Amino acid sequence: MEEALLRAVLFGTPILLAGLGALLAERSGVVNLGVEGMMALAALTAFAAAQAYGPLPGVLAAFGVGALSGLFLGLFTVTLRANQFVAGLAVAALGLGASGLLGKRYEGLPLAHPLPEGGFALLGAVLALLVHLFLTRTRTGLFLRSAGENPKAVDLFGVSVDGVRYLALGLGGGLIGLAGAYLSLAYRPSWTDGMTAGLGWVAIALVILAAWHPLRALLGAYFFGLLFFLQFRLQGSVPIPSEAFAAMPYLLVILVLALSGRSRAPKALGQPFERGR
Amino acid sequence: MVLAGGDALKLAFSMPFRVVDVTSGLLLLAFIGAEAASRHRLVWRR
Amino acid sequence: MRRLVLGVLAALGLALGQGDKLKACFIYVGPVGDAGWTYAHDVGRKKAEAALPWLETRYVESVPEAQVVPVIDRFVREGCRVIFATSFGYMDGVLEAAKKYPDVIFAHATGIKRAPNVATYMADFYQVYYLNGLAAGALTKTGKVGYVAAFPIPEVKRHINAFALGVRAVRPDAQVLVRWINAWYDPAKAREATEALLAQGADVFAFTEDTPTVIQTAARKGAYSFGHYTPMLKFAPDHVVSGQIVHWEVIYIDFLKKVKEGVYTPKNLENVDYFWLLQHGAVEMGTDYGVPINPKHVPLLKAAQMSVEGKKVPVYDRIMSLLGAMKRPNPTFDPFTGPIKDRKGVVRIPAGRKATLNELLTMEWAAPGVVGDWPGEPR
Repeated sequence: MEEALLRAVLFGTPILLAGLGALLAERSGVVNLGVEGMMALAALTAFAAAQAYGPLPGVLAAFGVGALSGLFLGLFTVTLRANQFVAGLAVAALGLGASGLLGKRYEGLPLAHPLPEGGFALLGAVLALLVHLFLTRTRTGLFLRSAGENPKAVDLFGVSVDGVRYLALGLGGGLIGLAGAYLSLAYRPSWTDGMTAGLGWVAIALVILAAWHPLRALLGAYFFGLLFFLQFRLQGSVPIPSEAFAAMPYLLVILVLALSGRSRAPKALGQPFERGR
Repeated sequence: MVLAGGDALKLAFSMPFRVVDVTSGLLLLAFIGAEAASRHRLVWRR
Repeated sequence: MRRLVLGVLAALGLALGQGDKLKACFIYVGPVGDAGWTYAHDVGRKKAEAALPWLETRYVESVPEAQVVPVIDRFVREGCRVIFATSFGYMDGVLEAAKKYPDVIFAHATGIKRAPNVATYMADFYQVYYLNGLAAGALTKTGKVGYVAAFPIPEVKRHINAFALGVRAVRPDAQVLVRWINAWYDPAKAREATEALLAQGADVFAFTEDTPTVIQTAARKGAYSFGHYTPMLKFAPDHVVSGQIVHWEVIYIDFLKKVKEGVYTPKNLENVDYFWLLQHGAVEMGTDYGVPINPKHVPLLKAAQMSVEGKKVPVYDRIMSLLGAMKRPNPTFDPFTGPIKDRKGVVRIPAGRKATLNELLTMEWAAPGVVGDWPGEPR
């Protein structure tokens, strides 16, 4: 039982970190579909930097690359006001592709000094709380939320909507980068092409299912982690075919989060902001 | 369409599939970038 | 007249140009960097190219099953004379294309259907799994051995069964706990499946999937493991006891040489089926190339005893003698020698004979000691 709770937290953590990153962007009004690619690029960066300079520089480098890739997405979604879905998918493909190509020489190498998973798990939980407090208790957080609900109001206050959205994408990108670092420095720990294996998409779904709320994202991520572990722990001891079991985490998380209250996207989500329109 | 084009690239030129990813990512960005730029020119002329 | 001479000269030049090099083309189902199946085929391709100066190769990676025919079309246009299709799912496409191009030689890995110009080939691990099972049986303290498996198909079931027979030969009360992850490559699933098995008390691990995740996860808890497909010692130098290593190049070189020498033609491949084992050098038992058992674990395996025909024998000696017996040109041992019952008590291989090739290729039953869900288990 305690084993299951431990796995819930340890496997939930990368989904939580990436989910918080996507959540920040979405609360500011920008859909980030690039999570999978950003996470892959950050995982590679973390691994490469950890091999060269040690694990902590690896984590910082992953945060940095995540933040930069968030800002890169912002270039298209915020400044150019391009279609956010297309831009996100492009960044996802670009990140996966670039990490696959650049990572060839790290493929199949063990990591000399892995980081403990517990540290990341604690960081994830603390960050969920911090993101919540940031959004609800700080002035910047208020502007960030307003950029996602009513960007005109933010503009009237004399605050740059674009600036707020860049901030959200950059910070969120950093968190997504931490998710990548967790995978390649603690969870695996090694680098292989495609190692994110869809967790980025799970994180994006989590944001919607958690109704854009950081603490619900935390519960949702842990719940998903628990079910993911249980599908293997209970395989063979309950009369359900393993294929059906594999779908269970997704279905149950959707069910529970859908039943537990309101779910409303930020009003301006997905809409580029243009002054005077 | 561009994604389907990526598959065609892979098959036509034996492109490694991560190169296809990068190429289609860049093509998509160039495409929406150009689209955005043309839209902006219209706005600026007004 | 001049035109005719030029034409003949051109044709001659073309023929000579083609005669220089044999062009062999490979169709891969995954990316070449996947560290598993496709990676191993690509290593084989490179080694064949290095060994055969007259060989020229090309490849396309990550080809979905539905797209194999267009890829073959292009390969043929580019002058490929031998085409290797390296996934089971390419079967229908390969057979279709083989009819369209009767002069091209096809070889289909893990395939079960042949034609005059379609051969099949496989480097199989079941003997090595049995030997690793012996070691696992000697090393488990809890009597529970974990097995993380990709898909419930005959190939994987055959490997689990061979492994379980080995485990039980040393420790008759041991269990092999199987978990299916329904993926060839998914590190997260492999990780959590291993964690689940650890939580259930498994302390030695084998697996069939394309990452070293099981090894890395088991090593964190101090559990022993066996590598798969490529040498995996480096991922846990203190815990990887041995493993299965493939040498596709052995098959590729043999096949291509016979094509070059004219032994294989597009008309006589109907019965060419490589099911290559230890004796052919297509597979190797090893924690690393040339190292059958991790030196750190040799003393443990020498100290452990098992009973063979009523006599006590060190497990290490038994592994080494059977490895030698199966490496011979005419192996004097086979893991699937009857009488063998499945876990429900049904006799699957009668006393006095080995499993036939067909029985090996269509194996659906579960060996005694195997515990867990087993899709497709015969009643």
